[in-house]
Amino acid sequence: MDVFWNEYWQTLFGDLISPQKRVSLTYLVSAFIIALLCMTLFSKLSIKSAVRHVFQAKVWWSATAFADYKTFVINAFILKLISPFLLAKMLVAIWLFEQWHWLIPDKPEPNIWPTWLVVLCFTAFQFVLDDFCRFYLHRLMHRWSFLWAFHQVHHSATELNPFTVFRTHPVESVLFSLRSTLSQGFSIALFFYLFPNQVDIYMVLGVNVVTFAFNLLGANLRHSNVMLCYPHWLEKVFISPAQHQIHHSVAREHWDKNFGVVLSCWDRWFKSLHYSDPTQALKFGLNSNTRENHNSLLALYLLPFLHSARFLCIEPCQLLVKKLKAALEKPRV
Amino acid sequence: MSFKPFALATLVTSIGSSAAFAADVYNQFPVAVKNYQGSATSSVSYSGQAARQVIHNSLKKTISKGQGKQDADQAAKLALYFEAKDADRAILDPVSKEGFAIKQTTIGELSKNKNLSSKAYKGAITSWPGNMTGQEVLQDMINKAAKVKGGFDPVNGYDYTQLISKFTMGAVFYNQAVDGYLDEKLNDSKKTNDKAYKEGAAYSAKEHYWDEAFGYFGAPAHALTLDAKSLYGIAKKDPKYFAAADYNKDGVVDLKAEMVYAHAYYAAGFDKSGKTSYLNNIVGAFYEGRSLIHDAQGTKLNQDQMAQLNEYVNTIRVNWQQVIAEAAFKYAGSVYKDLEKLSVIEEANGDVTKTYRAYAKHWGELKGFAMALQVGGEDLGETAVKLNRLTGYSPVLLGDTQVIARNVSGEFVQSSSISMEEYKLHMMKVQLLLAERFNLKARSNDVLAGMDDLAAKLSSSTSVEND
Repeated sequence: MDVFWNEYWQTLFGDLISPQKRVSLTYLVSAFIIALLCMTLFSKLSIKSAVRHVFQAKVWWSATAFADYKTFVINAFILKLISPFLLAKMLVAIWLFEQWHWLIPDKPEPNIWPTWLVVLCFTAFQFVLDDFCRFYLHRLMHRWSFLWAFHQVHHSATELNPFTVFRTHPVESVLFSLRSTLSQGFSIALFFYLFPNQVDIYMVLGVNVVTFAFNLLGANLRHSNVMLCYPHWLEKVFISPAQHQIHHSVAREHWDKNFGVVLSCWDRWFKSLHYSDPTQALKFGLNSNTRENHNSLLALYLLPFLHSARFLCIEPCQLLVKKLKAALEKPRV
Repeated sequence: MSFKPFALATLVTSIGSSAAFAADVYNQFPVAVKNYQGSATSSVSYSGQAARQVIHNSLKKTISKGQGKQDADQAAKLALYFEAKDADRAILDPVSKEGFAIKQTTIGELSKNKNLSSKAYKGAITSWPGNMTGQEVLQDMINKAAKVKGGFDPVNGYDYTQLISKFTMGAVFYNQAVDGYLDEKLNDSKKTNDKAYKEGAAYSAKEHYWDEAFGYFGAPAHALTLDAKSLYGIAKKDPKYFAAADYNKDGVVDLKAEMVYAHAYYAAGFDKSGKTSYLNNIVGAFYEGRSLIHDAQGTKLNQDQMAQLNEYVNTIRVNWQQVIAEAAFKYAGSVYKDLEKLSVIEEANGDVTKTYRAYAKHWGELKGFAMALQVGGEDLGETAVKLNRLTGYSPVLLGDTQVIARNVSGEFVQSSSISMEEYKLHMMKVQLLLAERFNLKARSNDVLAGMDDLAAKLSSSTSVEND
């Protein structure tokens, strides 16, 4: 049990130090610097005003922010408990490695490509595949009602701060872990089959070089009150922090837009890209008429199950009953 | 790989136990048998095992030099190094070479009346067709090896040099040591430590059984003073390591105590990688166990001493088993690579002769070690069944056939089988099976080498949080 708690605390505090995690101090500081530069250079705010804007109490010290912190702490505990039962990446990789023997029986001779090229290709392939899978699963979480029931926990934040990234239901965390396992297992198996003994990944401080750059260049501003827009030509390729904030907007025209994480081409191809507008004020949260307290533990952890069950079972049953009734009431000829 | 920490530990133990012999050197335990009247100064004796190591090496050499059917004497030559006990049999390997002089030239100089056949495992072998005992399997292989050039049977894909050598390491050395001397013989309550093994002997039964098991492992007596690289170099008779081998500085390597053979050679090979310390663990446990018996000074070992001794046995057994499993793992990887090469050559309509020969050689090594693994006295259960099914009775041959049985005349029967592509996957599964079951660390020729490292690296960027 001591081992469990030691690991738990290490995970929790490790997230704040490890460069492998988006909320590590390095990336928070880099995001803060970018935010200051952005607000002083483009929005012409004084440094004092910019700092005051970034550290507004409603962003960091409000019910919605505390709900983010609660989920950060509780989810780490839940995931620690269930992680031994999650699908192992090596299992997927080995199984797929075996399948590649049948799918590509005539593979190229080993060592034809220089190792640096194999590593470069693997780094790029893994990043692109991972980014696409994130985009697609995110899209499904919005489009499938029973998944939306869980994902709305994340969207129930009415103020965004970098810790909002942890405001997710554990079911969603499990789905994203599964996604990660499958996509990484796929790339590992494919490259190991095609280029045995040559596969590696370019990393900086233990992180994929592209992910490192993404995090260092202000990924934390995606969940913040700092609206950093890119020029439209750049937003066609990369999702800007402002575009992600649009994704969190309650405005009708912003629903189901900008699912992407790093690349925006996926949104462009799936017709869900929405460019940012620096003049536009955004309101975050759910467009819900209910009086639910979205920041309570009940709303964060239990209600999503009820909502999901409703979407999965009750509503289809009601629809079926309605159709049966209509059929029975139909006058017989 | 440094052995210094163990060396220091054994040195401290030796000083503490008032031993009057050089620390770390196995053959320098003085006589402890009470009322010993002879002239021996050391109680260590395993010359019979050294002789069998040399007989094994010489048998291997004889098989590989065979001229097939043109050589009518080949069967007799092979019998000389399997069944015969003649003292004047020449040592064919190891022999002196420039920069690496060997002391002995005949088997009799090491020990008289020694052969392999009488010590081969008498239990059933399920990993080879024919429902035979270990001794019968070796005899049958030798008979067949005598008929083919260089010990290679291209029709069935058998490299008898490798099959016989590796299975002998299991059915004689490994089996005799862990299933015999370190098991029932060591624990035989009638064979006590308070009397000489036989009239006039300088050692007790416990001492002798322990020494005989040590001799079968194949390490030199001064192994703990050397690193893995030197031990490997000695086995290869590399003149660079002659000084390391010649411990007593008499200008020649004594095959009784200064040479590296069979299992010790493989252990050193894996330890060279720095990932394992099999040889140090095994020889260290042998040394500690021998110290324990010696320290009893010719008295019966009590229950606690026997329990401690059996802990050393367990260390030896586990590490030795891992060495054999590592070897099987390594050659499963070689077979996988050979199959890849064969596929490319066949695709290009090239000449497969050379690669097919390498494939048969590596398969022989894999099969020999896989068979050896099953004769250590431990029932491997499902692991053995899987291992035998995955490797089969022969490699998958070029027409996708495989040996499936042995007919009444003792000839092998082939049948259509899985494809070479599927067999390649079998090799990967063999590696996975061995690595998991025996907790392997060196994992040479790992088909999935680096995959788990890369998976761990990618875990760093695994994210369960969404945007």
